[in-house]
Amino acid sequence: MGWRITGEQLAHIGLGANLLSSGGGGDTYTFQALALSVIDHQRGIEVISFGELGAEDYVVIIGATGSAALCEEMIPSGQEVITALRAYEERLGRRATAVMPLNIGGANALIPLILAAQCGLPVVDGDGMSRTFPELHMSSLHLAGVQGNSLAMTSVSGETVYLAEPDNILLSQLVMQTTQDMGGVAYFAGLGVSGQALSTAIIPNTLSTSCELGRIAHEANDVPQCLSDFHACFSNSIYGRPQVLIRGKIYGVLRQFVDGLVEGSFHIAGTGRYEGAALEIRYKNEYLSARRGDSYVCLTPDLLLVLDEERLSPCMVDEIEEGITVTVMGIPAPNVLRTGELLSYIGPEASGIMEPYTPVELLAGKGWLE
Amino acid sequence: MSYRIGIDVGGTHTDAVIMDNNRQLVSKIKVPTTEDIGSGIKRAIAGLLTQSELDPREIQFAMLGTTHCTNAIVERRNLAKIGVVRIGAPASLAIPPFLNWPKELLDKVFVGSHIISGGHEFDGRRIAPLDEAALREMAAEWKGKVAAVAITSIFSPVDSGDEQRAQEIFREILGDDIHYSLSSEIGSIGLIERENATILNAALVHVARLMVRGFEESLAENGIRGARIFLGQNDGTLMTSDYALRFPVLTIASGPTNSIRGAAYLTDAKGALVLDVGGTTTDIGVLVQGFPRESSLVAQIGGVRTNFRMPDLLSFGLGGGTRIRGEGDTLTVGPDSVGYLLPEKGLVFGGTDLTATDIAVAKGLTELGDRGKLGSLSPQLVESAYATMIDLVEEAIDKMKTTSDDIPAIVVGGGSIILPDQLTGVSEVIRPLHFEVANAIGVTIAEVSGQVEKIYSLEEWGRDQALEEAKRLAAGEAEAAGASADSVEIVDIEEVPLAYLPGNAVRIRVKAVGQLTI
Repeated sequence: MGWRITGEQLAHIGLGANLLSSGGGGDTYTFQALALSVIDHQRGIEVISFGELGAEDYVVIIGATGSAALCEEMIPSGQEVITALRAYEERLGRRATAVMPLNIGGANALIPLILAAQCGLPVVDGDGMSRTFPELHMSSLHLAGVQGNSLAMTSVSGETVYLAEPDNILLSQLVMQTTQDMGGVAYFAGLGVSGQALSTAIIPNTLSTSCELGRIAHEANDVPQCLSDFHACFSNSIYGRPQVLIRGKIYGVLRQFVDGLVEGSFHIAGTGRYEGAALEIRYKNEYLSARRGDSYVCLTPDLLLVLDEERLSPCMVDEIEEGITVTVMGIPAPNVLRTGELLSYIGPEASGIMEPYTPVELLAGKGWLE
Repeated sequence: MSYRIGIDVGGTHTDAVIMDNNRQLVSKIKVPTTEDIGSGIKRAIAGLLTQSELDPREIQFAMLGTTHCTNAIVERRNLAKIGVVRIGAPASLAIPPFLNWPKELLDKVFVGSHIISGGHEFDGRRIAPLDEAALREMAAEWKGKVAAVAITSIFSPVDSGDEQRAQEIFREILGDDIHYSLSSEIGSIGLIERENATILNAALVHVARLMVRGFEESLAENGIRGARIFLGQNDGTLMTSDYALRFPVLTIASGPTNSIRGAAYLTDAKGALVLDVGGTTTDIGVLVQGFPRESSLVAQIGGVRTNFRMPDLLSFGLGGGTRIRGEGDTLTVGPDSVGYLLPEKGLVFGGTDLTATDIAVAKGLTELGDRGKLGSLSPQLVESAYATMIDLVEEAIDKMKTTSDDIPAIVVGGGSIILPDQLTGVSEVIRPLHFEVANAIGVTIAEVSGQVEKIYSLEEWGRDQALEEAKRLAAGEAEAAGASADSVEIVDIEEVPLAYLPGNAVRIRVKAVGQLTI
């Protein structure tokens, strides 16, 4: 069902996108401000559900690639995504009728909204990842056989290139290389898909879920209310019933470089009802796994939400510090991410964890009675 | 013998001490903070000199931790009219300066703001050539209208060349009487937050003069003329008065840091909780390696987002003057307080308001005033009010601790007499001598520091060399700030790897501190 995003809801979506990012995806503060500066407060931004897409619709995927840390200094000109979209449309000789985020987790949830507000295009309610992953092909679109084929990338200084490559994995490598050549951050428009093809490839309604989660966190008065409302929201979404894994304080934070990516781990010492329990979380750009002793209780692609209880907002991997009081939730990933082919890119083994993937619903109770 | 005088201006009291060059306390005083701040400072200095009977010429150092700048921003007073330029277009055009500033603060300071081309990428490559013509044009437009200019260039922590060139051009046209704030000298990576801090700094140029000149006058009027003057900054170290005139924004939030540092000095503790109980509120901080633990939250100053690292503090409404009302189910503790009027309004002092201090006297925690005046208090009321007070404290202690083990707590501040010797979660309650002026002691014994934050490519530098270089730069900064070279040590190294960048880029932040050269 369609709706219109208001200015106030942009803030909800910004926070909700961080809640769904499993610790990665970049800060949404700047892009939220940018979206707020271009939104027409009377009209809002039109959102359509995948069910409303027709055969003649052509949906273009919009987003940013590169280093989230650099985005905090290298703030966009605001013209990048329009420039990229126009370059893409020109090469294809075809106009976009709607746009969509590639990944709902983090800053990329907001970038299509900026473009939608600037061009008056609708946004499709959904994405291809339901969280965030580092590469283009780690998505439901790839699984559904949607070949990206091409996209246009624009740098902050306005340089634009068009990349064409029928293989999603090779295209993903090209994008990463181009991003580095463009100064570490770039914006893209492309991977166009017909309305019909998208309706079977999309992970639906994740934009509305992020908006609702953000609203809950903004309006909650205390931690228990926030958690119980999160529980209800996730349970009625494409995700599933979340599992509270621990409540406690962060200690023992480790960070290091492995093959150019930031990896690390930290521990949480339980408090209150979880006194005596401990949880270890590992991450590589995003949270990957949670473990109680030798037993894994949550494995990628299931999401981990590390909620800072004081701010009622999620801790990103680079915000993890000793002494913060958090509640950790394991959130089931949508089923499409749990299929064999995608697990080979985003499952535990792909991330160097030698443990077969098992859904968090089945794992979360383990390790308690040791 | 030479002496140093240290003053800390708090919300309720201005505390001051004189210490000798062996860092032994000679004299201490507390006076009410005045609205203009300065006359309170003057009274405190005069009081100290009378008490100690020292020759004012023997005072060689004078240190001040003050709320001048915080108050000016919060109350929107004495702020300078400023011009703001950001260098980096076309990057960043989407978000102009003053993002989400409170309107009444913006209106007080705003003359003009422009984004022009120039600036750098993270690896030092140019975004675009610096638009010098645009700088000359805006300087002409601002001439006679601005007291200060805030200059921020994209990735200036990597290459500050454009900011310096812009300053030169402005100087040519606007002259030397205008203050220039360069973002590369004030903040770290994070454009919006660094720019905000730079704008605030420029807006504080008048306040900085009031603060430094006022302090010099207060000293001179009391016969202290030759002393070197320092101001406390938010990381618990000192800067010279010349430096404070250029970077007034760094004095913000120095107060809580001073009390934590003072508590550390008075007890020799390296790791502990510090509870600073004042007249109205209690601040709990955490002492790690002799310095306050810093907060991970974005620091808001007067509604403006900055990237200052503030001490991680938990404040709650319990102090010596906290008012207690009702009984049974209707009992409330605070959050309001009789403040510095406690010696008139508290029951034990013959007043009519029931305060936290009265409850502490009734419980026998402290001998103060006239116990006999508490006769009408029911024991149940005393017990339940006391239990509520302790709950507040213990809950806050639990929030601030990083581990479930009991740890020591140092209690300081005039109001700390209301706390008992046993608290849940605390292994030992330490009450140092001179606890009531710990903040003034903190600023008096403070060291001077230097800090650098840069992005290094580890492939290019190698980790060890990058760290060495950053340490060398930080030590150089500390010496430039007045530290004696042989006393400088590195106290903090933060290394944050940056994902998705070529060459294994790491953000390295190093802080060095050293003793004042005598």
